[in-house]
Amino acid sequence: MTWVNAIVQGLLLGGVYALFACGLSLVFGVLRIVNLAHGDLTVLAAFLAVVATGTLGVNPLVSLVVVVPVMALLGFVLQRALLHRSLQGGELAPLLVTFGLSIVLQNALLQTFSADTRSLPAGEFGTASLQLGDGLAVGWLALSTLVVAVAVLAGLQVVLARTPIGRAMRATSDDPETAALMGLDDRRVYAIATAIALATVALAGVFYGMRGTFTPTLGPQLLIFAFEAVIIGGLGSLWGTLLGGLVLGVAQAVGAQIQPSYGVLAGHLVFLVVLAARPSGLLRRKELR
Amino acid sequence: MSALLRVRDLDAYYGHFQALSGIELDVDAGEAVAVIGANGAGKSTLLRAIAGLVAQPAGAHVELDGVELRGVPAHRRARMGVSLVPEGRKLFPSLTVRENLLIAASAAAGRSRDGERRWSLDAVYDLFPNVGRLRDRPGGALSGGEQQAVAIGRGLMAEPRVLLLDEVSLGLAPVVVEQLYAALGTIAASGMAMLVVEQDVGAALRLAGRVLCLRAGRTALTGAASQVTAAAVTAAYFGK
Amino acid sequence: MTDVPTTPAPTTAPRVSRTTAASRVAAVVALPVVLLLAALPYLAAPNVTRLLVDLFTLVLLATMWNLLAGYGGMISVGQQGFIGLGAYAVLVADLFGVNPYLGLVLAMVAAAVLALPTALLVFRLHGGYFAIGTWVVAEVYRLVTVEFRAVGAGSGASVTGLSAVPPVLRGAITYWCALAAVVVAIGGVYLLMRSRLGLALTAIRDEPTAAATLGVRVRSAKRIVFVVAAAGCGLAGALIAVDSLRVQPDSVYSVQWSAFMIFMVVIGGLGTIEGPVLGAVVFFAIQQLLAPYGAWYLVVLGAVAIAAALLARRGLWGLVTLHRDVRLLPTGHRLRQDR
Repeated sequence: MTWVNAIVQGLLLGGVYALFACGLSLVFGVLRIVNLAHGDLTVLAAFLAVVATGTLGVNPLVSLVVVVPVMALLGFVLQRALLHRSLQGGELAPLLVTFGLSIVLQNALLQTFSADTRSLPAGEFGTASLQLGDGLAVGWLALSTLVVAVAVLAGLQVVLARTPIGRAMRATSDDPETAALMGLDDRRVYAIATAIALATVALAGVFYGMRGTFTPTLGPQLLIFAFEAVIIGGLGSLWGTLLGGLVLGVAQAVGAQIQPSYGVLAGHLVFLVVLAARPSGLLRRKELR
Repeated sequence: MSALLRVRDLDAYYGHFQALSGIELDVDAGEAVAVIGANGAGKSTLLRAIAGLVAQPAGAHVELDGVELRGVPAHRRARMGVSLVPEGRKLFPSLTVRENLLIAASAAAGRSRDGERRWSLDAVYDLFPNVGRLRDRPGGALSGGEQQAVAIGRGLMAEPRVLLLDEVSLGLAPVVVEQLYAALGTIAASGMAMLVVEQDVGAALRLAGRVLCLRAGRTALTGAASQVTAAAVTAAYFGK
Repeated sequence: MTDVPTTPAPTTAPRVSRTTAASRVAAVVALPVVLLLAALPYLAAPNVTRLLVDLFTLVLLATMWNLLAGYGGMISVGQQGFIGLGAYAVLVADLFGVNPYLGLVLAMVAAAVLALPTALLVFRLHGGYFAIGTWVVAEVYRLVTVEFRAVGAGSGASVTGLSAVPPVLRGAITYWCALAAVVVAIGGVYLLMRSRLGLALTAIRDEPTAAATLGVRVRSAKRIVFVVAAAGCGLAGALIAVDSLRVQPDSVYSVQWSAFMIFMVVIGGLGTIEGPVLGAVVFFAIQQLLAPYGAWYLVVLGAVAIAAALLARRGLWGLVTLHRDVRLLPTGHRLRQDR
């Protein structure tokens, strides 16, 4: 039963990773930028929720009403102010800029909020669980995180496939110059994509903060998990990203079941095995590309 | 009364290389002008400069219906009615044919010039029947001729006031070129102002009323298509 | 280092030259400077040489990262994996009673050997994903390392084999090792870039597809660069270990090393040999000046790196040499017209 439990908890954990990963996947798919500050932005969202819950005295879930729009706006500004300029500087510039941003965010958070471990108190909702049988309980919070992750991925999929702005994103990703000939402003399309990505980052940060603890220096670790989910699932496939997140979650949970310190390592090893055996990922479709 | 598209003193540079110098050109409403010349003469650069893809230097003028376009980025020029069908078709491979057409319609969406839309999906499908049959195929999975038809249709969906066409016939079989030019003739007959860059001089001269021949970035010959002789074209191409 | 006329041609023929006026001056000046630096333990106080060990380690790291990114086109944020390996190689050598200074060589070998399978995996990724891939591998090295009790698991261990050596002598030897490492690294990269490999890398950087079709073995050239850079970073890690005599996993495997390397190279000037050296000196100065301000100095570093990446793409060295053909260590060829 402990193993079944580990797998179930792993799947639920995978929901968080999928949520982390879809923003990374979207920014790469549309802008062709790997945002190395992705993890630190997630942590920033969690700290914004700390401030919002502290000053407004509301539940972290309610704080999403503030945190999601703020992060989306930040994404829009970030794209306009930094990322767009870096796109003109060849392949290296976006990486250097986002890595610089990662260092700035991480250390600014460290100075502002100290290195203390934090969490977002989710109240009863955070501790209540659904009894599924002998020694197998599923937390409502964990379950709803997975549901939110699936809903966000499905929503993104619909936006990309069916809506005019999704069409504009795919066209701009294919060929920005020709897209401009069609009247599409690539700056605006990119900024909207980044805004959407950071809105999902906000969700991921807050749900992660409610599920466990975080510190200002957690960002790089989250970036790595998001990245592993994307690569395991297959670049450019949103459903692959979900699968990748679930595989990573299960690997970590099963590894930790063997010995607690093996959890993260097991996730890395599964990633490396996938990279060696199936470098294009478990699922590879051309949805984003 | 100035022309619909008015180009004066147009220079263009790629780094230090001057690709165009002192080009003067008028395209009136309802008129088709052919731009011919050897490879590297600057034909495509001329279209790209008009569309806003090449920087426009301070002394150069490109005007659409009296409005100066210097400093106006490509996407805004497209919305104002300058539509370029680029060399190499450049369909969006991850969009279906239908989506490729619809994406351009958004360029016209913001323009409330007279509220009337001349081009729609159905109008494009009427003009190019095979495009209608291929509507759900991805843009990357078409033959060259089919791609060119979609690219022209896409250019029309942007509701252009001036349609710029770059190397329509490039790499296509003669029979396909003939079909495409028949469709372009229909478009021209409807009163569309067109600027056509073409290697296939014969095809271009049948469509256009006037011709501009470029050599090494400069105007080598200009005149009415009916009065331009083969010998004059040859001389303008090769410089005697 | 002399001009090589293509033929004993008439005086009007252009000549292909690999040197510049500045490089000839540099060649003349370099030897006395290195000799002076080598004599420094006899001339200066130990705390001076101790600081210089830190600086030399940074120069070594910057040179290696520049080799990877500036010449090899590979942005890695996982070089701390090899720094950590190098430091632990010294620790392991020490455990087996091997002299820690010999451990410096072992560290290079160990890092180079592990770089081969690492390259096999991470070369499947490109651009930004390559960057994070190297980072994951570095994390794996760290997580595996801390599973070993013999090297102190999560808290690390001390290097004990040098306790018999008097501190002043130990400081001097460490200093000489660091100086030698820097000279070999800069000289090595210079020679590497003037070799056929350098030519191949330039071709790959400018036009990878064309280079491949012309028979440049892209993958193998990149692999050599990756392995050499790993060995250099391993050596840097080993220097850190013999200098501080203490190896802590969270410190030697810290991603902060990558941040430092990127900062130094971007500030100094990517794709030049002189730039990263200049960048390392600037970074070292900033570090010494701003260290009391805690993490704020990293915020400043990050912001400056962003600004440099956006505004001054050729870095400080690019500003120094603006409109001038100053190359102390020229790797290219130039054509001269004699009058």
